[in-house]
Amino acid sequence: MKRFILKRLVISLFLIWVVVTLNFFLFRILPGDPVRFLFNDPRMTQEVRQRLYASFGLDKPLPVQYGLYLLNSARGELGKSFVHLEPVAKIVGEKLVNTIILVGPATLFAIVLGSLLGVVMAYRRGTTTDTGILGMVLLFWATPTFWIGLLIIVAFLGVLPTSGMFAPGASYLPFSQKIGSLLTHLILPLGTLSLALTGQYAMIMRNTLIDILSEDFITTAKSRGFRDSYILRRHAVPNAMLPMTTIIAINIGLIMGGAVQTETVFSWPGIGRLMYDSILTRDYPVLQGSFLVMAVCMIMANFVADILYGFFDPRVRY
Amino acid sequence: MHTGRWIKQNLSGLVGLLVLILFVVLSFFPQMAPHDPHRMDKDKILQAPSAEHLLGTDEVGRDILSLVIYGARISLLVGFFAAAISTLIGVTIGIFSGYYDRSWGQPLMRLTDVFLAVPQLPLMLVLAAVLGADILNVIVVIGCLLWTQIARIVRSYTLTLKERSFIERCHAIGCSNARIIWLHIFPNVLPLVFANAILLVASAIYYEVTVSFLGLGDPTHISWGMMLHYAFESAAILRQAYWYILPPGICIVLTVLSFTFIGRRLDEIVNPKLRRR
Amino acid sequence: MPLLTIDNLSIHYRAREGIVKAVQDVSLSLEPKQTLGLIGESGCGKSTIAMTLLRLLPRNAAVQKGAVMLDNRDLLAMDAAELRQVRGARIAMVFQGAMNAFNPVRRLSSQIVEGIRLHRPGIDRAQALKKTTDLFDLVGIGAGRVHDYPHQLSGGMKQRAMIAMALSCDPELVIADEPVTALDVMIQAQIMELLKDLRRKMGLTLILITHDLSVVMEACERVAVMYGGRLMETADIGRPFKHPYTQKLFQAFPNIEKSRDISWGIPGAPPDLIRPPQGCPFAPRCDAAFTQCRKKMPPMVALAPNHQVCCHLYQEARL
Repeated sequence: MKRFILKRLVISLFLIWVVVTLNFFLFRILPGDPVRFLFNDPRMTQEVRQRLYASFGLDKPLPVQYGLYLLNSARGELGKSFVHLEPVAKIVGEKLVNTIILVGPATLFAIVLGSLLGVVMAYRRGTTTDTGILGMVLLFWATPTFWIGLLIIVAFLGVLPTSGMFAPGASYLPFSQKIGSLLTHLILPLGTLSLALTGQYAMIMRNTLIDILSEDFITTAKSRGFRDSYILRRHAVPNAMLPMTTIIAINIGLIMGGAVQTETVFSWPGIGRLMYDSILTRDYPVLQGSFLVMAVCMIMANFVADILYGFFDPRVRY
Repeated sequence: MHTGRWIKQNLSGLVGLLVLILFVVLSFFPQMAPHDPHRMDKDKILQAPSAEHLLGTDEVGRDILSLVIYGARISLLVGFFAAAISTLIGVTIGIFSGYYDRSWGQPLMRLTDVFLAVPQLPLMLVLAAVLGADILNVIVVIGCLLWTQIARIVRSYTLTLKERSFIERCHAIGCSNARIIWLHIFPNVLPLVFANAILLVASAIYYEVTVSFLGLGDPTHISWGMMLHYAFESAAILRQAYWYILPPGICIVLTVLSFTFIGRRLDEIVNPKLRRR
Repeated sequence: MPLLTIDNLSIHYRAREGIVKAVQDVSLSLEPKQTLGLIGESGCGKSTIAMTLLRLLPRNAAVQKGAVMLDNRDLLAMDAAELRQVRGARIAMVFQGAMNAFNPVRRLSSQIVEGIRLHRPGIDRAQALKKTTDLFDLVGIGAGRVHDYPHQLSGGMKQRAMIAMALSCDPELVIADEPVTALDVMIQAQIMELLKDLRRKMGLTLILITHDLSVVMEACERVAVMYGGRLMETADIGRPFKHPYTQKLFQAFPNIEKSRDISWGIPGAPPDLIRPPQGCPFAPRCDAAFTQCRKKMPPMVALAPNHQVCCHLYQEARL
């Protein structure tokens, strides 16, 4: 088991390194003068330009730049925002917390609801219940997350808050008072993201469970006299957790994509919205930084999922 | 009798096909649109559906129905070409990593892992921002990020095919690897790939729409995603202009669903594990 | 007083190509402490009958007519609750290929104990575990393996574990569907010895379903021969067989004691069960077939109190 964890850890670190490197080269393949993105002032003299270059370290040879970049990234030093002139790490860090507040509950809710729907569909496979739920689930799966958000806004305009995390000014209130504001603002984006993700998990559970229900040990359990509900609960679903965990882990990227869309539509001040804003304002350090953080989060989540898989599947441990 | 059964079995696929044909026709003959989609009319901003404008107008007075009809083209085009690129990359990597499992296989699998480890939409956004919002860039960016699914499926199938005795016999009579891959592996892999490629189109359209909505679509072409982007940016939602938001979204959902249904039905036919008993 | 009586059972499957008449008009009876061998080629319907006894047929199968009487209750008419009390506790099944018969993510002890506690609610965990451990000893696995996971056992041991699980709730009847087919010959012999031993020790009534005649010859007292979904002959082992198919079957089986003859196969192919022939299903491949055989299905006649045969060559014995 320990070797298993170690191996996974090494792979995760390797992947993080790849992402950091990718980030580095991404903006250096831009044609033209990088400083131009910063200050496109035609009155800038050559001398000022040189000084700017030097201050960003762009005059050093490429390998040195790369080395510095790696070192800085490891230290959490991700540069300064072009627009806000604050350290990227600080900005991203603040927004990350907000994203977790939204994404955490939404994902949990979606997994639970999706699994339930998936179990019902698999158990009643082929009946009208299955087809009906399947149709609904496919519908949500095919619908872009942001569009669900737009529709929800149009529907609930005036009824529930549709933008931001707190009522204006509320963020200065003490915690006990602003929690209410937070919760009302959380309802719509949470609902949107949950709806969008549920379809995914329902499909995964359905497919996984259909495979498992056709296995021999299910027939054996039935032949011993257990109720169907017991067999589902104590034999089928525990086996379904394995492939479910793997597939959910692979699809964590979709959660992030969903978060970007939901935060944009509802102006929720998280990392997704930060990414959107930085695209609009061409704030490249922030764009890079938020992407990096998202990628690292995803790699770490995959790592955790791998460990969980080992926990669920004794064949890996023994 | 048999036709009736066949229709019932393939119902979802057929419905998908019909919807798809409808959209393809629209994209080839956009002249059917009642108005010029580019024509702006400052007197008719954000009007609700009327007799003259069946789906209302947008924030600069353009007819939404016409916009929707013209927009079909881009979504289908991008979806198709991006999926084509993905399929090409995926099949190539899949076959090579499967066939040359011991040499190329492992590094190629690492490569696949890398692409799987990064969040797709954010990466597309970053790449599109860096490369510029051009329709070609969007196609290439989406195409280069969606191949992992197909690569895995093709790789695992190639691995099973490799062990089959007819491949052994080919080696025994002295066939070159290239010949085996081209004449035996590739044709066997195709049916599987075809079904998945269609599902890939659905994904590609989904991503194109989302990338456009988030502001990185090609502003010189009308697309459903861009329509929704402008709807959002112009605060049309705050005016509850449902006629602006619903039509492009419904078209998107219908198109994605139609490819999904067709792809799923084909996948069922090709993949016996999914067959309904 | 028979333990189990199968009365005119007919079972159909709905397949894409049409309706498969998997079992037609099969009648059998089984006395307590008897071992019946149910033999036939693949697809002759024997496994279907076994699955029907515990009503484990897939969704596209349906019993067309007939009854299966356990004591005085028709298994086919029981409601779900009553059926669940029969399954495992009165009739237990050992399946073909125990490779996947256990839940891979749970320990063997946990799986067997849950079964014991299901049918005997009063028993506590420790007692159930003790019983499981004793059973493991009995079947020759050894008490030390009781907390293992299924993948830690070899094929032969898994089969023994399956037998232990089947016996764990003290059933009256054990149905073993191809119990040794998936195992290699040495293990086959061991498992057969085990079955015979257990049968003796626990007074089991056994139905052995197999296409392997050596199993039947070794362990069974009676044999029922099936072909094309129909019962061809039921007889005690030891009596000469009368049905042409049975004769051919046992002829085809090489005898290690006799001289080295050419072993005879039976030319031809099994019948199409979607469009079964009008007459006897074996007629196309039968040496002794005549016109009547192809036209009309022969009736089942009793040649002796425990010997039934379904063939136009024979008529009701004049007693």
